[in-house]
Amino acid sequence: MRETKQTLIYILKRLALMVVTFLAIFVICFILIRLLPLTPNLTPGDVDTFYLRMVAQGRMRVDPSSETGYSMVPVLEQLWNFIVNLFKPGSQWKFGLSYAVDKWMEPQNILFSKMPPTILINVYSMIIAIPVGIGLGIYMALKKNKWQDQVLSVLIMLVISVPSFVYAFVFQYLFGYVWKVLPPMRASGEFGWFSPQMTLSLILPVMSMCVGSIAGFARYTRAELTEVLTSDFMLLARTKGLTRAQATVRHALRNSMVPIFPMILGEIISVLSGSLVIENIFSVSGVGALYLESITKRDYDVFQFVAMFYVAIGLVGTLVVDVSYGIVDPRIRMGGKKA
Amino acid sequence: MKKNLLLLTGAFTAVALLAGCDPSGPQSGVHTYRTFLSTNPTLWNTHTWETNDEAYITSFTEMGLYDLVFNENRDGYAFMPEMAAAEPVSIDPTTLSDEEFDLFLEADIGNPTRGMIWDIALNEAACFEDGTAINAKTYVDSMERLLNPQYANYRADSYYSGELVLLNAEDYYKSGRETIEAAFDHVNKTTGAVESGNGIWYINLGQATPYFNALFTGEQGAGNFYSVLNNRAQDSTDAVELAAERITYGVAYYLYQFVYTPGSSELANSPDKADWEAFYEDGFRPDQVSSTMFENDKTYIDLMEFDNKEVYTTVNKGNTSWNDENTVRYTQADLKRDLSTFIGGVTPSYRNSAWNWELPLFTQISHDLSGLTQEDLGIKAVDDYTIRLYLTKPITSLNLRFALTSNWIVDVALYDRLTQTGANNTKFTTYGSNSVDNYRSYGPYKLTHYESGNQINISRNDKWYGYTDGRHEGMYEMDAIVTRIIPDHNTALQEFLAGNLDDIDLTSQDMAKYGSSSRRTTTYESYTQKISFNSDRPTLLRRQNDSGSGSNINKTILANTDFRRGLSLAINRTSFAAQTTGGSRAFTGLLNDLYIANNADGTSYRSTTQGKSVYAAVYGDLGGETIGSGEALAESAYGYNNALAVEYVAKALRDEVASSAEGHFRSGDTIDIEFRVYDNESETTIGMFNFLNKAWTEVLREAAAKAGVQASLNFHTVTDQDYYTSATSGRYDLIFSIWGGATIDPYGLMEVYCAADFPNNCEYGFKGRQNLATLDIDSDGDGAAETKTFDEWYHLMTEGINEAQYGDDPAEMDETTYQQWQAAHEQRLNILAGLEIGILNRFEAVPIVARGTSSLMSYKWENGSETYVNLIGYGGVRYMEANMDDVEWANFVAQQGGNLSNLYVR
Repeated sequence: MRETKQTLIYILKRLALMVVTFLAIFVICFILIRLLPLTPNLTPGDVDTFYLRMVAQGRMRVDPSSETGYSMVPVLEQLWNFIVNLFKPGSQWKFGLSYAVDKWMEPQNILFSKMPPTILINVYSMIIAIPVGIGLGIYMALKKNKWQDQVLSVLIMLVISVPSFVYAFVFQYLFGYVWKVLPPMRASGEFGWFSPQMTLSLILPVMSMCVGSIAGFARYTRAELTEVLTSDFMLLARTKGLTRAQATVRHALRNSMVPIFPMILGEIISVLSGSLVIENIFSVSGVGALYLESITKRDYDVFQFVAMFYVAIGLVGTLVVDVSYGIVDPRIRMGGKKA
Repeated sequence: MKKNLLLLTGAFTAVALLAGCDPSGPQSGVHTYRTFLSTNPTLWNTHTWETNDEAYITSFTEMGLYDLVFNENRDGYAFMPEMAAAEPVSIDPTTLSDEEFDLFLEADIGNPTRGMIWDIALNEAACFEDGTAINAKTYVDSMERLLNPQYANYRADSYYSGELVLLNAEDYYKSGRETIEAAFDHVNKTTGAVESGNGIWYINLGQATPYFNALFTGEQGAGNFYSVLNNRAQDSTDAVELAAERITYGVAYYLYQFVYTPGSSELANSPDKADWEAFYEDGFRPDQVSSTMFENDKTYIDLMEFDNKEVYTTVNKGNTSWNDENTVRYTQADLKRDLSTFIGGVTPSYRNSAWNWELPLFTQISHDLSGLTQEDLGIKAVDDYTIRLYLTKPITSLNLRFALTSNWIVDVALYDRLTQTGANNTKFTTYGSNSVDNYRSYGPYKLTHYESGNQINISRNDKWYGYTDGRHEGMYEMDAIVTRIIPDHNTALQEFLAGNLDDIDLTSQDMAKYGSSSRRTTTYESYTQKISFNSDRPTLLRRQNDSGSGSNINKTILANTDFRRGLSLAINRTSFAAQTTGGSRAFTGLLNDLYIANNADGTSYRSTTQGKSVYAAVYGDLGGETIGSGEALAESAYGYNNALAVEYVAKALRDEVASSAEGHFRSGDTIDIEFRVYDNESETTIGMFNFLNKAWTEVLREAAAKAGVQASLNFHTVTDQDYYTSATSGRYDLIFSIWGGATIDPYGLMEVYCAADFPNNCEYGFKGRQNLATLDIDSDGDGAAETKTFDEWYHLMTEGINEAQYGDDPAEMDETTYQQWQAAHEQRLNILAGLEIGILNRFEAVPIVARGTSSLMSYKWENGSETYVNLIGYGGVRYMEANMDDVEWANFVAQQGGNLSNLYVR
């Protein structure tokens, strides 16, 4: 009971800290991004039109004394206006309005519209990477220092050393253009996200995404399991009469999962984030490029929303991972004090 | 376990089989064009598109009132009424109703002349994709939405800033704005009243205004108030001279004390930072006030500031020191009095006007013209299917049709339904963005699927009149256009080689493999890629000093014309184009072959005698292997002669070493050239940089040896995504700039070089308003060649000489009129070529290539023309012909083993 209370207090403290951290990052992001100068493109059109749009979006104001006739609204004033608008009932465009990435769309709609292909790729990748990676790791640990282990270790080191976009190119070229057994690009959304065409077209990006994860899981699982398998308690388990398989599954695997389980959680959390390069190669049009595009096009509202969305995900993820240690291994106490 | 594996394998097989049954697979008799875009068009609203990608969808789904089509021989262009039913009809102004006359009178245009009112009969068969009729009301209401100030549409200026200027369009669009404008345009010259002004007055000595242009010419006026004051402070009466000095020093003192203060962001960003900083070291001294400090200053000082803050000025004329005895507090009233004294002293016509002090100032003008409504716009419905355009200046039928090749109509009901109102009563519409449902097509094709970042499907619009009117036989053969968004070029190339795309743009790397393919076409653009040098010595000196005082870094040599000329001659433009671009070609002029000197017959400016004379005028007097030998470089050399480059650079090095100017080049210095680029990691940039670096390092090495000095080059890139802005502010040494525009108006394009305050001029140091050019043109009838500023030549060419008054088509003129037209036309061409020569001979703008794009087209399609026709290109979607339908193409690709790479190599 006392331990549960301690854990709850710990979680509450972490939540409070999380909110403070989130707000601090939000303010820093908000201020820094809006300190960048706003300049109109040198494209045809009345230059004033750009400024008028900035005025309408609360970034600038008419200022006869400035060179352009407009000046930036002070950043802190913008911050205050943003917060007021956020909590004002019935206010429009609470998170702003995109003026470059997807013109006149609200940032949350842009982000959420780009999520389905990214989530699909990541989920498929995770479904494959976790069991395959852990399975390989177990196999290598059980075959420690035998030729199977050495061959797989070399392969894994090779995979880890090469960036994922290299596989992406190789997979696309071989499977998509040389052997022509798989679509080299993501299918059109008009088929539906769970249509056979879509599923088939996601195989190559999923392969490119999960190769690295498989290698990572295999390496960690092998390292942890190898260590646990040589522990004294494993010897005890065997001497108690358990078979090697029973001892491995019931004792070794569970103990070795302590550092691996947070990795799995991290993988689940990263389902919402995209890979810029892989998405580009397979024309996935997910969230991967959104971050970069919002910065290069200075679409501050989109950048702000996307950045804060992932900050929130990251903070929640970190908390979940930390709490998960106690669940995986009850010997780890949350919020415990030094004796 | 085995069972599970079997199930899993079965599931995957089923997925694969189902995917194989793709319902969108090839169909017999259907001709689909498959293409791609590397960037996603985020909108396709004809009112507010900005980039070419944003005009991509509407190029299929919309149609202009008139369109350019091939002539009978397919070697030139002709006009075809599309959304219009017939040619535009010029209305005799004397037939206008009183109400129509009032439109012109109330807009201060006066009596309209021929060419200012046009009737356009509309195509009654035109409708939106859902069958909604398009009539005159659609045009009138759509124009209102386009010009509605609440929408702040980027394309509103299409109908007030070019050849086609709709009555009241600009005022309507700018309603509700307050802008700072030169007072001279708004002061009633009889009463002194300023309508729509709010009584706030500003002074800015560096900004050009119509007042100076109207009353002073050439060097005397030089376009800004400071120059006028400075000149008149020496050759007027004592009172006027004193007034001029007091104004200058008062304003300078204000800037010194309250604007360019130590630590201020204004000072940090000022190109004249060092000048202002000198005051803080030495104290404010009148003799240190210089013209550049005002030319670069953008501050509009509210006259009230002279009362609110302690500003001082001189008591006596010719003061060089600044102390309590010879300075005095300077108030708003004092400033007004001095302005009045000055104006009265130099412009007798305003001598006795109490308000004359306002003339050189700026004032805040309110465009809140509450009386202006949609009814005042220069477009009206004459009947259900005729619109009448009222213009503020005459336009020829030809130019009107050019202007109306794009359209402005939208489905107004949908447009309004998708509108939301934001802060400051601003409106945003999502019409033509995000979704197919947010748009209505009315062209030959309609949008059927839009998925941001992935795919755009466009298919035949069965409601389009052209499929049944008998005038479009053999046109628009495509049934559908499928456009993938493929950001990665390699992926796109692989898709093309696999037969999944029908065209691909080639990069400079691709050109090595596919450059000689029979399927390659080159599409030329109207843009010239040029090197823009910073040639302003004071700015270069400051940048040099900022690089580290006492170091052996030199930048000021870039101000030496011979040095820049040498660098230009060292560039083998042919090799540059071949090695670093994917379709551009060597070029030494500003205006390439696409620019049309005479719209009636499509004569290219470059093919005229004047256009041809430019090369020899710029490179002819360079000599052969030695400077000044008089021999012209062969045109085929494209301005490349390494031996001569060495001579010029060596001469520059010797001259600079011998110079006594501050910060001049000394033997042993490293010439530091900062090349500002958008992305210094792109392959193209790296290729171009390496090419120039190699050429210039070599020429400098040889030149240094020849001149007997030690010199080295540090040519390096700096990433700067705002490099154009940096260039216009002088914060650069060198950039690549791309320049060009509407090919039907090369004359108007020259504004960028002729108006000193034009914001897009990238050659810092070049001042079109001030710099002089002597052309062999006798415009004042004295029989001698004349010298004017670039700006004055430009205004003479675009406003002073009026070709349009003689008619639309020279072929239809009588002999006398034709001769008059030809004289005017020749004179305009002379000026155009003269300006081009004048600009190029300064070697601040150094053209390298005329931009072009090479692309491969699949064997499935053929262009409408094998030769490139100006303004139409190869015919585009209108004329493309299919060699195979989708099934035949799929079979063809399969026969080639699914890889067409070998076919495109040859």
